[in-house]
Amino acid sequence: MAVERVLELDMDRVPANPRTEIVTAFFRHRTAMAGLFGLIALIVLSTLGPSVVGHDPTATDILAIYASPSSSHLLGTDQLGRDLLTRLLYGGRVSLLVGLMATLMATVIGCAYGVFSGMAPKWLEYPMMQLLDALHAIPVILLVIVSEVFGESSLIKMVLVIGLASWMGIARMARTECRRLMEADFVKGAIVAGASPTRLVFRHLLPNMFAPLIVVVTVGIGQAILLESTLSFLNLGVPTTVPSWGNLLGNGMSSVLGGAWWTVLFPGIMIVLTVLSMNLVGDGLRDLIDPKNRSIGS
Amino acid sequence: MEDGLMKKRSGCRIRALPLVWMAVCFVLIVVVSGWQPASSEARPRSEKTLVVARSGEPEWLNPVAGHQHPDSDMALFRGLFKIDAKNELVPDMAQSWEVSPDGRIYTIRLRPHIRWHDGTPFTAEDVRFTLDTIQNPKNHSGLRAEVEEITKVEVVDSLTVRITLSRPLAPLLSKLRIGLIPKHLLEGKDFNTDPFNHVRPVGTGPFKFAEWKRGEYLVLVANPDFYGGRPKLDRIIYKFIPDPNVRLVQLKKGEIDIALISPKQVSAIRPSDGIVVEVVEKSADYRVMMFNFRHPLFQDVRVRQAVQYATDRQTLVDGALLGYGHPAYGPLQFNWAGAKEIPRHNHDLKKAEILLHEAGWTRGNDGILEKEGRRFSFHLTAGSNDPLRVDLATLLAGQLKQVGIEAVVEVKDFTSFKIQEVEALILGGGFADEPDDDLYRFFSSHLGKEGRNYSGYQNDTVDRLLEEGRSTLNPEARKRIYQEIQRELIVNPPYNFLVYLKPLYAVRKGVAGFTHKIFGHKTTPLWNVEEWSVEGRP
Amino acid sequence: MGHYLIIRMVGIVPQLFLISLLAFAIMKAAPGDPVAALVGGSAEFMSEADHQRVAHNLGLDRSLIVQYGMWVNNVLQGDLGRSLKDGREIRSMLFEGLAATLILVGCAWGVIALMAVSAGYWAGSRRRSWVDYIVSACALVSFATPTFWMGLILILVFSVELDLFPSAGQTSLGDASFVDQLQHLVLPLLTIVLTQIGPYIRLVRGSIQDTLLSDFMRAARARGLTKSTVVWRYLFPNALTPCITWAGFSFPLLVGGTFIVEWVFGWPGMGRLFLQAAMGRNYPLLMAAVLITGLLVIAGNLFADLLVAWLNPKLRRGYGR
Repeated sequence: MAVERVLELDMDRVPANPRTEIVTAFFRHRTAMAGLFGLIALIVLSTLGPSVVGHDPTATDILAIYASPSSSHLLGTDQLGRDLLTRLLYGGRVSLLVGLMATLMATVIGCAYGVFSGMAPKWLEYPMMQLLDALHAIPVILLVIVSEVFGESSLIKMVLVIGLASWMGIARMARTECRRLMEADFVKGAIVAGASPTRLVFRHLLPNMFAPLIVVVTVGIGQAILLESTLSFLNLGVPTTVPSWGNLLGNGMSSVLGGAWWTVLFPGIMIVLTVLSMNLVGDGLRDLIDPKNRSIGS
Repeated sequence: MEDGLMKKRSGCRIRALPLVWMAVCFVLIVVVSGWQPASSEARPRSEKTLVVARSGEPEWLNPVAGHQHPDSDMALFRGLFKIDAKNELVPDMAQSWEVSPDGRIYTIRLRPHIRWHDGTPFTAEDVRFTLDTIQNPKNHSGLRAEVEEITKVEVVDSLTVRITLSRPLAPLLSKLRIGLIPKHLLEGKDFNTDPFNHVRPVGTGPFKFAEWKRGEYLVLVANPDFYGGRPKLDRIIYKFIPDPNVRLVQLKKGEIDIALISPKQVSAIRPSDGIVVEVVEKSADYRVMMFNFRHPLFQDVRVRQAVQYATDRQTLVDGALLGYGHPAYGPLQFNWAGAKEIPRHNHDLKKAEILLHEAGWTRGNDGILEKEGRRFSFHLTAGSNDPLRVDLATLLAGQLKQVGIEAVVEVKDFTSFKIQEVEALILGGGFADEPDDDLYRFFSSHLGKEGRNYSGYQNDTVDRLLEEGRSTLNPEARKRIYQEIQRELIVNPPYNFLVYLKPLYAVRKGVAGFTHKIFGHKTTPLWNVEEWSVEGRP
Repeated sequence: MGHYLIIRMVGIVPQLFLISLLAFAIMKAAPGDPVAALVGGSAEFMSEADHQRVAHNLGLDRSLIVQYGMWVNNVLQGDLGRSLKDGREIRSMLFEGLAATLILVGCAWGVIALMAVSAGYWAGSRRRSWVDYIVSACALVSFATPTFWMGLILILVFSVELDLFPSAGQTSLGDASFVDQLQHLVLPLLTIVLTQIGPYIRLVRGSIQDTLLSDFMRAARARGLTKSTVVWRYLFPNALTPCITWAGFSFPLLVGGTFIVEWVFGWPGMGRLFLQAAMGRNYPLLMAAVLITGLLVIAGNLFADLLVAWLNPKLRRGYGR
């Protein structure tokens, strides 16, 4: 409940004509553009990159174990002589995909839960809020680790686990927004005019939540990528054979003390850059929605 | 909200400064609360202390639990027999023994004047109590299958014990290496929950229990009354460090004296670190790819032979072990009972392809073998706590792919799956002393679910030979039997044998006692812990 | 205030119930073989009959509701059960871990509060200056850095290469002096602070900026009050209230980060215990840890809420009525 007070500060201000204004203002926002540029570069690199580099991410070469960065292996190789740059680019695909899908899932669940509890009668709303608070009291990383105990490790499971563990923030925001909008004249008008609940949700509530939602989602993707890397580092994430950034880092741990610093440095930098870009874009969007530039972490 | 801030300021003006100070005090209180006076089990520099890095922590300090933590067990608890520097079985707490002509009754005379750490004399009653405890089905002991042939344990006098077997058993004395536990402390207690297991272990070994801080360290102190003479060390500290990299860092920083390291860590050790890397040139510790016979892919013997031929063992030794190892062709290469020369299935892709073709497998569009609509693809599991096994699995998967076999490497924590349920597994084993130890448990179908025949291997010839090997007492005759088994295991392979490791131990200069011999799986360099010493430490 | 406290306490009860239910449900649904875990990976030595017998002894063959009832009943009596791995009492295991975790979390909270307030004030009062940009950039990077990676880098630089601080553990063997403990605390603490402080700095900075622009600040300055009076009596109390609320709300994040740090630095706290339990499928320990962590976080939230209420008499009185 405490956070609503904080969030409400942000939610009081919505631009008069969101669509056009946001788009034009966004392109004028320097840090947001930097973030967007970084994101596009990462996406292009990890989709097109692997075919350009010309190495196989799983091909081992026992004659090039721990090769340091050179012209044949730009970022060096790992303990089995696999090309790190190639693995990093493939890893980008995995990490971005997991982050994106998991956040998409969290958004769907979060919006459904949030809007439903925002519109629900009092007797139902109370337990729903309690459940949200109870889930919030357990750190996300713990929820994820606990859920990891289920089933075989796979990419799909990773998405499910992160998605299922990180929808609470979105739900909370959606609920606050929903309740605020329910007080607005145009929604009241729609109710009086006899709009069905479905119509109310999809025509009036959700579209008007889009602006704050996109901010939370952007930051959420970055957090999902961080979670993925942490889990993979702990060997609880995507299968070890899939070269995600977290796996590369976990793998590099046994190499770095022997002097193979590149195995730990580059994957880490990739993660930081990606999450940073996400946050910059999120910040830019937030600034536009909330001109007073009050930004909290997530 | 802004208005609210305006109104409330009158009520809380002077509270900001205390707020910051509260934070400061909070930190101080918390820090100080964590401070404790130096612990009594500190590591006084004047004493001769050996700090040993251990990857795993024992769950219990009780050898009868069968959790296999040989080094701390050997220091605290001793058995009737032990193996020496030549890997020969010698009496430890036993003095002499006699075998009845039919090989079913053993009369063992105990070494006199042995006392438990609490001063109580050690007697034959303790031997009987230990064996009874293992056999009592109420107790959580993992050793029951080890002593199932023992039908009766009698105390003849206080220093003589008579063991009756249901049938002759050559490895009996080797099995009696099990650490003994004191009757006077455990009789009538609940074995499964008694504090003996955690906080009050009492044995007869060269070191006594002092302190155990869970998750961090275990401290043992010298037992001046040890029957083998007072050990040279005053104190041993086992530090539990699961992460191999953390072990290396602490080793380099001088926080530990000895640790097992992996081949890829050798380059991280610099001359200035003051560390000697002991390479155990010969060890019976093998790594294999276990076939699970419950999986339809591996039932055809030609397929298993093909996998053997597709494996390039020298590359595994070079790539995963950086040369610190030997190619493995069978389980007894470094065992006394093993043959020097055995038929080998060297790397031969042609032969592999022919065998697979004969078995009905043909290449599909993606280059992977197919037969009756089924792809030749399986999961190859490796334990997550051992990077070396993961490397082996990864390299092996690459090699098998060349003949169209897809092995999907899967890294899992060992406690998170049942070995019987994986499709294929990188497994370790192998001993230099008693050949029956490994072979009977791994390959005999007799034990069924009781044994360690994880792969579900069933071979009548091997079963018959293993029984013969157990009940034959003449060493030369036994040797011939085990060599026959060795040959059979190559023709009809239960495992794809990969490599023998050369274990590498990083030992701080000034630590003496490391004795080279042929190591086995789980042999620790501290097998002769009472002879270790430390010098040159200020 | 007492009234407010009671209302807040009552509100916690359903949360606790849900957390306990959640912990239990998740653990029970999890696969893995607790019987195998009990014999420490030596399950190969056990027969099927032994297996069933041990499962029965542990109550694993009873109905779920009965098992939950047994568990809750025991928990209420202070008995959290025994660890499957070694048969030890979970209560004592957690108690050992809790102290170590609290030291880390408490210090981190304190340091973050001090640093965030100073840096946030510094940047917030110099809007669009280079200080502002640098602080904001650092906050952004901090927010984007994986905790474990930061820990590894710090170990490599400050422990392995420069040999300034120990890399793992809470004390050196045989030297548990205060200084030694402080040395061990430095790197884990630094890791938590560096990776968690970002949002706090940004919040303080934004809040300070807003408050500086508000009318009452202008009025205070116009009245000719000294700078320190304005800052300490007007600016901070008003600007920091939302920050404390956020600190309470984001407490789970801090605890989660601490758990990862404990793992990386071998800090003998609850987080490490918890991760080991997860990897070893130690269900009773996992259940207890979820419960205790939930309690810890709820207590942290409560603390922050009470602090806010204490700072805000309006709220306090509102509940009192």
